[in-house]
Amino acid sequence: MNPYFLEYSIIGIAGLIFGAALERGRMCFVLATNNMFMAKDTKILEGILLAFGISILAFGIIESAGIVPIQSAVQGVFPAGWYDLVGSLLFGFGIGLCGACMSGLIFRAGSGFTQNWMQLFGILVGTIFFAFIIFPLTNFLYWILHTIPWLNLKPGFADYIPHEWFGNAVWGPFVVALIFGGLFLILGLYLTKRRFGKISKERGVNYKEPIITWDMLKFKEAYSPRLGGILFAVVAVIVFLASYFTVHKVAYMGVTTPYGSFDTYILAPFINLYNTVGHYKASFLPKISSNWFQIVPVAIPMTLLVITTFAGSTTTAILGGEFKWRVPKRKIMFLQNFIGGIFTGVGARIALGCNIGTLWSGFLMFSWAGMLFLPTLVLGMYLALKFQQAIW
Amino acid sequence: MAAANNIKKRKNHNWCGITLLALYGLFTIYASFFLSYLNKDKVIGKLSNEAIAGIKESFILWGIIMIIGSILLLIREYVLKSGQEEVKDTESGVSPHY
Repeated sequence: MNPYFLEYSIIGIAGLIFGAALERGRMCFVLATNNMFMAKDTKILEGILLAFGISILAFGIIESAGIVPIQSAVQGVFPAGWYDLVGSLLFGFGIGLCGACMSGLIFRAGSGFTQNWMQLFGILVGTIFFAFIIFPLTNFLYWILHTIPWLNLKPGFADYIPHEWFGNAVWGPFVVALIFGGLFLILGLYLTKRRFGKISKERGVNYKEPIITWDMLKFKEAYSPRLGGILFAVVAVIVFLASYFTVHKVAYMGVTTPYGSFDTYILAPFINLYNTVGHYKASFLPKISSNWFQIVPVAIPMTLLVITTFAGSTTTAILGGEFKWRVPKRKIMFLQNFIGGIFTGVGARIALGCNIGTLWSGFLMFSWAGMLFLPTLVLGMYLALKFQQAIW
Repeated sequence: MAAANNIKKRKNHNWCGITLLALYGLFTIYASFFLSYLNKDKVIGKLSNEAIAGIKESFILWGIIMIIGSILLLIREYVLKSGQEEVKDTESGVSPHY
């Protein structure tokens, strides 16, 4: 069997599970932070923390046990640098304006939220804006490669924390996973326990939430944070192992780079038109060899993962009876989401990824990228919240 | 029980979702046709002919699966009529703007 076919087919299945986990678990970073700060509700945040914790621990075990050798795992490690800080600030501001992060965008758009489709359109436009304007005019690649020596772009061991801390020790990834994953896991479990305690106090009975119920499996009920977290980890592990045992050796989760592919596919019929008008070469138009479409691979497994994630979210929304074509009362929200989408798209390109590709995958790769992305992401979301409070 | 209480009478929009699912499938098949053309003269991510063939087949397969899925949901909705009884609003995740 063609290994590419196998890899893409398996990753398609992972996308369906991912979509179901997102939609049923309401896994959105913006929603999680907004609920926590405005309603003191930590339920969604618990799911995200548990997802991070479980998946990081799973990756540590896989790498330390040699199921995926460290030498192979580091091949896909993202570099980390100033661009993570700058990009995530713009990205955080953008998703704050839109009210949905990259995972939230998928399940909301897939459930019929029209303003999130506008956000997606904004991201596609932002990606093109970055590719054709920002990237060439700022000489972006040069600034990444040559001028920031303190956090250089060196793929592989340079940004692989277990190697930096423990050299070539096989137990290195597990120890690092135990530190970072354990932290997320303990925080998630603590918040769950605190929420249970609060509800028990209010109701006067010992409240406990089942991890999984028959109604959850039938899509009648929202997933518990713990089930959402487990499914997130399962998806990350499937992608990691499927890519290692087939072609890519290895791939991590990513969402925004596929949007570059979407741009490519959508514009594909027109690229031909741009290049050739009749028998004449349209030389005044951007040359294909120097633009975005030559920089982003045309087909990456994550592109299919994103499409099937959309499909999974839409399917579970329909099966759960929750699909609804929702149009915002204030039509200005479309404009806000479009502008927010542009910020999101540009920010994600500068940071070389989004809250899935750089934040979550950054931790899964044991790279510094995730940790650099996190603080300015929160700052960006906070600024967007304040900005909205000021203007509305 | 909580979910049962949450059920509200509202207009069923499932046909929109089913159409959306079919459109994902069509987009996936549409994208597969440009793989080899767009891969020409790539700087990064140059793929072999074997890779292009495998990826294209997988894209088409998933496109067909999504279209079949939408047909099954259509049957569930309009032949079995089981989808129409379950319409409810989301428990959370709804923006206050709606």
